Amino acid sequence: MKPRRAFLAYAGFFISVLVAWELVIHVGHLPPVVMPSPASVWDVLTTRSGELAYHAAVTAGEALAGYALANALALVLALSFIWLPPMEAVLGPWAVVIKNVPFVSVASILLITLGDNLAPKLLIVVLVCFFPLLANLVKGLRAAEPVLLDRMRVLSAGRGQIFRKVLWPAAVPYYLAAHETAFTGSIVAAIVAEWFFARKGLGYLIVQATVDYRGDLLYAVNAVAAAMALGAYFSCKLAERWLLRWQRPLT
Amino acid sequence: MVVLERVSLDVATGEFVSLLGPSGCGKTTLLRILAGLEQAPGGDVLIDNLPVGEARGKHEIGVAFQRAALVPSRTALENVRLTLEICGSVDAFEPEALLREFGLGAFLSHYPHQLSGGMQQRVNIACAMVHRPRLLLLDEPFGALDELTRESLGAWLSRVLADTGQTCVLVTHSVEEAVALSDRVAVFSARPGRIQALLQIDLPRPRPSRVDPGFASEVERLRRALYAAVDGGGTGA
Repeated sequence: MKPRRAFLAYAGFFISVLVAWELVIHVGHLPPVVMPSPASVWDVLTTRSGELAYHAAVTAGEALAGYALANALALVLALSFIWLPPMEAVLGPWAVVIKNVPFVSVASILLITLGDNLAPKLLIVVLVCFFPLLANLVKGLRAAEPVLLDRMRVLSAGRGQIFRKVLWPAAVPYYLAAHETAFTGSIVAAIVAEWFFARKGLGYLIVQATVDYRGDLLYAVNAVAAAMALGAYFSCKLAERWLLRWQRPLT
Repeated sequence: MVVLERVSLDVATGEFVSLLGPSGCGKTTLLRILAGLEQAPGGDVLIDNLPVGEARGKHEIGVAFQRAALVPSRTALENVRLTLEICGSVDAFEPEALLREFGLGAFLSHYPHQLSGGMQQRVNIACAMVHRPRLLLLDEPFGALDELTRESLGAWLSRVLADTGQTCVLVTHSVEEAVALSDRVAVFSARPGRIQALLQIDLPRPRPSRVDPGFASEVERLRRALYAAVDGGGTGA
């Protein structure tokens, strides 16, 4: 979609949401604690912007750090699966179990075991993001053309060169597909981790707003979280546009 | 399963030798052994008296496969440069000049999917020879192309190799292509492949047109040798 058309589509969406929101409040006669007006939420967003920015930065930091860890782990494991095939037989079942255990239940165990510090929150983000990254990286690294690998072998290329010049370029489209889901998922995971036991972060604010019946604050935090997730999504799209520019047809 | 049997072949510096035979006779396997991509259970491959592994380490070999070995996310020029990024550029051709020489001056910044099959093969061959390997191995590089494109690319390759003086071994199943390009042709029997005949092509360079009586007579001579090799040398085509 062209940028101007995309901008208009998103603007239309947000205006529709605001109109529907006001309609629901007026038609349903909902009290502010259940559904605050857009104006009161805007008020919270502007008057408590410093506080919201601080908690958003905490959540973003946890999400980014956990996501970086998940990437590093997924890349190391994917390469080990490619270069040392027995590793896949040994570690594959671990990855499958990690993927299928409900992360919310594991989150409780991690928080009880490790306490209120950064480690369990990072681990929860890693748990959520790691598997899609690993699965797609393995698939992408295996998508490298055998004939290109033969070309590299004839040239006596080292493993590092083969990775940089053939394996990684082949894996990029697959990696980006996982990145789009996992990167936005990292923010969700960080917020969920903060729900359980935290004194800062958007998850903590959500719990506080719920306990205090502060609908306006709850909606404001959700707006910030949604903005962060959308930012992550659009950064993925920009990266995709740049890294996969070679796929565009001739104009 | 035995693929090749008692294969012995000397190729002189600057010579163009084609390996001709029916499908499945082991031509590509022999080429892969020459490139060091597969290990023969017995025997040696020497390139200027060096074992193939050492020659490969010194970047003395270039291979163009039937399927173009191009990185899809690199332009034509970047794909040619990729060879030099690995081998170093000492004594190499200048990639941009080489591609211009190959008639691809207007397509330097095109990605492989934006090029025709014939253009992709020219880039493929440029990638294989840009570092000036002493031995160029071509595995049916024109196999997937139409007849006219094959002919024009063959004529072009002859000109390029005459200029560079590189030694070349070509795998083909086309008798006409073998006559048009080669100094000598090794004719293989069906599997297990053996060299049943080694024929000198008695035509001047540049080769006459394919409708020339001399060309037709060489094609006929080679075709007879191929039939004899397939009928008498193996288990059948």
